[in-house]
Amino acid sequence: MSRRYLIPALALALAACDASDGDEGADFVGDAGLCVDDDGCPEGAVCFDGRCVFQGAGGPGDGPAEPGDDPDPAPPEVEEELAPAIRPAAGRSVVWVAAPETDRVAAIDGAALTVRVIEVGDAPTAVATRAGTDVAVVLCRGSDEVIVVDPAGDGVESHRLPGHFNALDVGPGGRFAYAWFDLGDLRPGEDASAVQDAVVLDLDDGRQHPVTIGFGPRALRFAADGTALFVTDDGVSIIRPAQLDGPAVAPTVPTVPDIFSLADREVALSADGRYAASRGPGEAGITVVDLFEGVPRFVDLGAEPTDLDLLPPDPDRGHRALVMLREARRLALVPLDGVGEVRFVELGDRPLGSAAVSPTGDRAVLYATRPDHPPAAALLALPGGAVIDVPLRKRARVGAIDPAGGVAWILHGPESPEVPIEPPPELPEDAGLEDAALDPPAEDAGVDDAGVDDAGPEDAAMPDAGLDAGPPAEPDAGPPIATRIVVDPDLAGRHGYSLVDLDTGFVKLQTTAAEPYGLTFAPGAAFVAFPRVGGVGPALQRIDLVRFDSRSWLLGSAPEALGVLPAVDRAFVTQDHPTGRISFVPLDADGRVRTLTGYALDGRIE
Amino acid sequence: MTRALRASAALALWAALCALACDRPPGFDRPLDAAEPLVLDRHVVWPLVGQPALFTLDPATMATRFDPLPARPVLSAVSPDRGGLLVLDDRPALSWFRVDAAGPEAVFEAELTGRYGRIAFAPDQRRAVLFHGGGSAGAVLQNPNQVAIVDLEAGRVVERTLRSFGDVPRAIVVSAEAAIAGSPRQLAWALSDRYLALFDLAAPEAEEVIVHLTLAGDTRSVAPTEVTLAEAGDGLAAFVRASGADDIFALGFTDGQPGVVPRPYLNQLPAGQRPSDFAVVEVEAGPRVFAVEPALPGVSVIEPTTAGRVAVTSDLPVSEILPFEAPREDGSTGHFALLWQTGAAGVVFADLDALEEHRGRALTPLVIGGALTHVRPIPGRRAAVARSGPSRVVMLDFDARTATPLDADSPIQSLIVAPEGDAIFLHTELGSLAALATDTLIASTVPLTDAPADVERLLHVPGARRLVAVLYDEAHGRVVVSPDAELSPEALRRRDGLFLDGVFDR
Repeated sequence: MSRRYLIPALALALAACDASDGDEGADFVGDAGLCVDDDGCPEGAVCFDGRCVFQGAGGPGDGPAEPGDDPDPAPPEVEEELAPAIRPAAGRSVVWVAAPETDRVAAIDGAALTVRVIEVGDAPTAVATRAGTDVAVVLCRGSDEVIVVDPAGDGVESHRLPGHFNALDVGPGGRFAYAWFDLGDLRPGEDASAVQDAVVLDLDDGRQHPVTIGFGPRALRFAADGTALFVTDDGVSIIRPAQLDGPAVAPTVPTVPDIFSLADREVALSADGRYAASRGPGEAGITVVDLFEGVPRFVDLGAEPTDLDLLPPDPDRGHRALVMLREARRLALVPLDGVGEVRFVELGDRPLGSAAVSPTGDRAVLYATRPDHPPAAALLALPGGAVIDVPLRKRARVGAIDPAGGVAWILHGPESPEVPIEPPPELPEDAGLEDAALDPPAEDAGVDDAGVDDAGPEDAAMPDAGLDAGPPAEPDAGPPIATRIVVDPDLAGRHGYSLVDLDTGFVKLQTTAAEPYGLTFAPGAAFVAFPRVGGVGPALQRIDLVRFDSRSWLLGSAPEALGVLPAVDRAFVTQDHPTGRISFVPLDADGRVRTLTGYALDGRIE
Repeated sequence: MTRALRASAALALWAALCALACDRPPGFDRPLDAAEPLVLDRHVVWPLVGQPALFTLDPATMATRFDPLPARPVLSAVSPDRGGLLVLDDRPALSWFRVDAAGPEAVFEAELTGRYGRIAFAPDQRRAVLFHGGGSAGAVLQNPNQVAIVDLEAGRVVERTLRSFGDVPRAIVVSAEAAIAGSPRQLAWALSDRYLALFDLAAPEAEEVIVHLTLAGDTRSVAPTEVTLAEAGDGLAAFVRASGADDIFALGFTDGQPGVVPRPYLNQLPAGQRPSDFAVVEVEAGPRVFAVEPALPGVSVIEPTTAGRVAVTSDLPVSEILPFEAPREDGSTGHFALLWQTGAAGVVFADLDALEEHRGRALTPLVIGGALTHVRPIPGRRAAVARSGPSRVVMLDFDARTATPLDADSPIQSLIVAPEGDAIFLHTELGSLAALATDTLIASTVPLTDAPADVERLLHVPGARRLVAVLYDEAHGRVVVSPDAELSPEALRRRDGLFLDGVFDR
């Protein structure tokens, strides 16, 4: 922003400040004007992506925590998966469901609600579709073949595989299919001889290319150019399918210098397939590797990362990783290409250990999953690095951002409304936690050891949850307060989620009777499913990401997997039913749910 | 003439008579062995198994006819319009008769390879299906999955064996001819335990389509018992209710090829717990399946397109549904139903158009008093007749929502509703015959016989406007015929030895 606008903006900000009554009920965002930095904002406001956002007096930005303090005894961050384990294959207007017990696949037309059942090989277990089409590619686990089925045609195309595989993926271009072996899905007595093999099937000409890859592949990712990247225990195995001509050994790039610590790592890959970043237990940094060069390098961050995400490549700043360093109360923006330095963003006293990055790369939602801490979340503006708090009413479990980058969805769960209170700073060191009558074990109480040892009122101040620290314990004053309420007791025991507007920071809490799962984004909306709880549900819910309201449809049985059929503007949800059940709802919520039950029986119409 | 000469003449005459008796047709020595009478539009026909022949009575004129058959009749059935008679004999073969004012006239005969025990006519009586139907058909080795598709107009028979999956066709339902999957078809459904066989009477050689109602390995008994073809928004669909199933199976059809049995796709519509009856009705909101659920008790309203279900509880036990139309106060035609159950103390009137939205408010219970034994609709009228107790008949008026009891002088033995719905006929244990006008509830009565226990069955011959009481224990036929209105003793016509009419001319 030019100086020409700075002074008027500042004047406006000050005017807004005077107009407020100064209480905590002031608008969270306020009507403050534009800014360049925090100095351009009134007291209590933070310059967030060019706008002043009120954060309250004595905000959490006061004084960064020193890195390298005693290890945080808090529980580790738990990264939950939002995607369901099993997902039917969705084409443009057809949902494909495998029926291994009948050696058939069912093509369910989402518009006409008709079913066509096609006989394939033995025990089809995995179905994928060619991008932009309704053509299905089916892995028949019992007969070791890949079947290609076009619902508009009459026949099926069979490709016998050279070995036994249990996983199937189709590349983003739709030309190549990959059969591989997922040890995580190994069945008792199953042939696992192909544990380091993959077959690349050219769906255009039917040629097969056996490729040897690293041990124990656990995920297959694709770069935008179609390069296949297998995440294995040996590193990242890289396959460029268009260059294959017969059997090959995929170059495998280790993701950490110590080859004996390759397992149990979180590995993130850049969208262009150029870089990989990983973190492992006990490592105070991340390892970055240029997959073209193949040489991993460790980036010391001074604290063990609790979460790792890659930002979309920026034309000015290149490839970067966002690394959460909860212990150090900071996050790090790490260049992957070695250009520039690591940039740290201080988080004050915020114990934020997890992050979700928007697809646009200009926002991230940071959140705490610690069960022993009040709900905490913040928004990070990139590239500026400004951080503002958002008022979560319940603790976060996991977060996701919609593909448009405008709204974050944060999952909550039932929780205790209380946390053990940390001892007041006036207590002598040797009073110990016993005098304060805290429940053991003290190390789990979330006490900030730095605050106790350093004994300063300001350091002992809790994040602005608007709560008092409570009176010091007095022997004659009755039992001391051992816990305090950090979550509304009426809300604590409920499931739910929060929607966070990434521009304004506005948060809406939506409580639910059951835990939502199967989060699936659609244009302007998100869908979640609920199991039956008591007399409520099961149900499918559409969340409007613009209006922040929702609509639910009751289902006949427990939901399993959700998906979207873009060509017919419908979302679908498969459900638990002996003969198969699937329901379709319109994406715009204007209409009724249509349910088809018994598509497994359709396979027995002969 | 001397005494010896007279004795010789008598002996010669006696010898001559004996000689004549020895040469008489063997038919005189066989019993008539009349089977159950069949009621056609203007006649009553008895197959005479012992002769073999068809004996026809015109009750309006009391004229009779004796028509020999080429072989012993084993099974006979009347077409839905009461204008045709299909007879299977023991050659085996079939004979198709059209019955006009004079009596049955043979149309065609066809030999068969199988022996059949059941006949299912198409609603338009252009075709029929013969099937085994269980029991013995008299053959040494029989194929219970063999069916015969008979084109009654073309006089053609196609016999074939349906694929079997552990059971035999227990019943066959024939749908009306309709455009299905892009072509005119007349579908027939062979109902077996755990599956249906679908075939097309218009393409009798086309391979049938088997629809399994359970997954492989599921050993439950799921026996289809009811099939209804109805519009379901996306075209004609077949709705199947099965014992042992909680769902109504909806079978829809996409495009198919002419001459090939279309392959349906299946959707299980949740209908509560073990629905006992159902109806598909096009109400104001669109087609709906109304499934009666005794366990609720009540009725489920199911939208076939979405499979959405609304369960509505009734105050009285229900297990049957009888849909009908009736005018509303604003003059529009409304869709209603009578819900009832044998043994219940009342019936429930349901406003089907309002049931989904207003739920219990759309149900009106009506206590009749006494346990219901059965309910039968009265054609052409928004009414039904119910039996309540051995001697009581209850007239149900759907418009007025009333139940009018009528008491007989003794237990009612049989009750017949005239096809036009203008009258109800019954006879009592004391041998009285009554004709009740349904519009006025005025009855005329007449004693039928001096021996009340004589009446085996009462028949109504609508075209002849006659009631025929068939009496017991008479190998040669014994009937009493009365006009079906304004009963009076003077109008009764009694005939003993009916089957001996014209015996010397045969």
